[in-house]
Amino acid sequence: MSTTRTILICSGKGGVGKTTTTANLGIALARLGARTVVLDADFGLRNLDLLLGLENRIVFTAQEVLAETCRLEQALVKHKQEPNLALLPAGNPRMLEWLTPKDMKAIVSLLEEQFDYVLIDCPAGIEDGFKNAAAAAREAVVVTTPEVAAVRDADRVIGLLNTQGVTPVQLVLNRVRPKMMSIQEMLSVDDVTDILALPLLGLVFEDEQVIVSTNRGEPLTLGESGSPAAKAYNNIARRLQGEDIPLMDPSEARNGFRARVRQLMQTRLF
Amino acid sequence: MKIKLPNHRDQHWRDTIKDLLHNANTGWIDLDCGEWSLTYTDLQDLMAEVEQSGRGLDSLISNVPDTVVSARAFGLEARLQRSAPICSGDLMHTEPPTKESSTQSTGVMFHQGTLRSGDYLHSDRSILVYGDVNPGATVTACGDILVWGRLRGVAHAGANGSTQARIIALQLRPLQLRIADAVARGPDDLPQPGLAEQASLRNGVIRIDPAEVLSLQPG
Repeated sequence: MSTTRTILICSGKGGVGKTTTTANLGIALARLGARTVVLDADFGLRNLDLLLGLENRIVFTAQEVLAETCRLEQALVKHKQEPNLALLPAGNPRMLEWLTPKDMKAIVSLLEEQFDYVLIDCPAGIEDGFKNAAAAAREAVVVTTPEVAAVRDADRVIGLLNTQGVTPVQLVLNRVRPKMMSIQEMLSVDDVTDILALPLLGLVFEDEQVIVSTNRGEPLTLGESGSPAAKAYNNIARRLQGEDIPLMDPSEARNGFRARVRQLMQTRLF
Repeated sequence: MKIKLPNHRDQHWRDTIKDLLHNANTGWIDLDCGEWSLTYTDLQDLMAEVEQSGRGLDSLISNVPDTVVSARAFGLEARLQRSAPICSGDLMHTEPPTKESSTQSTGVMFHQGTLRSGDYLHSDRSILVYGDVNPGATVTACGDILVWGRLRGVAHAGANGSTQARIIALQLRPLQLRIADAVARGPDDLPQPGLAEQASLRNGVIRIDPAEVLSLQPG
């Protein structure tokens, strides 16, 4: 019995944070001691290497491995600071057509021999790119934001995953703004889970640090920064491993902040 | 050897697991967790019992996604199964339908499960959906449409022009309703909870009222 968990990270809509989630989750899992590989199936517009700061180290891709012009070890790019994490681009941006679901299964079964977690970064959309990426997945994490369009697309993707027999499918709600939720200008957590009816794996609050870390090529979970998004991603990684960690409550997050401000003001006054 | 945990309404699994294991043959066990929602710690306890009895767990099936999630985290082979269908026979239907689904002699198509965005269900008779119809999904029928759940997508009853057709849902908040040739947008306000509603055609206009008891028309 293979204990490797092959998890597809998908969303349907673009720009909701699939790649950011993959990068941060990969680092977080690796830091927990799991041998992890992130497979960039979005190789037409590949960004995962950028986010991980590994762009200049890529020599080969899975394409060369399957063509047997190089060994898997040569194509795997080890992360600089986190040796438990490796990156494998699924293909070359110039050769988009070559990948088929069969190739994907072949690559993943090679990876499953060496790793505890295989995270597949899925391209946006539900066309061939998605079908290829989903072909080898056994589980899925659907990333969505509290927006009507993102939730609608996520719903479609979940339907497709269900027909492919991918279980369990879990949900990550990204870019949550507690303040907007509390004044009901944004879909609430319940609104989203009501429609999608999936177990909620994590809530990630909107965090400016994500932009900074993305541009630097150092995922947030890499440092010891106490930023809310880093905490959220670390919690998601631990929940994936079965730990029972309560979800953050958006209304409490806000109160917490308010309470802190109030405290600060008091200390200044007296 | 297959073991099924007791129904969660009758007995707690912790009380019966020892006996169940005792009665099972030695060797590998396929565990059916039914409706139990088991956390990682629950599974740890359960596995400890299994190991103590000198047996091993081969695979696990459950009706609850949460249990499958915990089992996968535990490194167990786990599978989600649908809850037992409310009708007997081959009426259960798990894939988003593209063509005719199962029908009964009454001429009603029965669909179990949520219709998600992009799904499309059509019948030449009436349709009974046991689940939600999400925004972006479409249901069309030549007869009536009954949704035992929330209708938030598009529904078209009486698609062949039958003006007697009705659309009924436990929560009727569709994007759009069509009966025969009439089209209406769904209401914007939230419905009264716990009140099933029906849409029907009166004087060429679609009206929504509290649902009546009815028998589904063959259409």
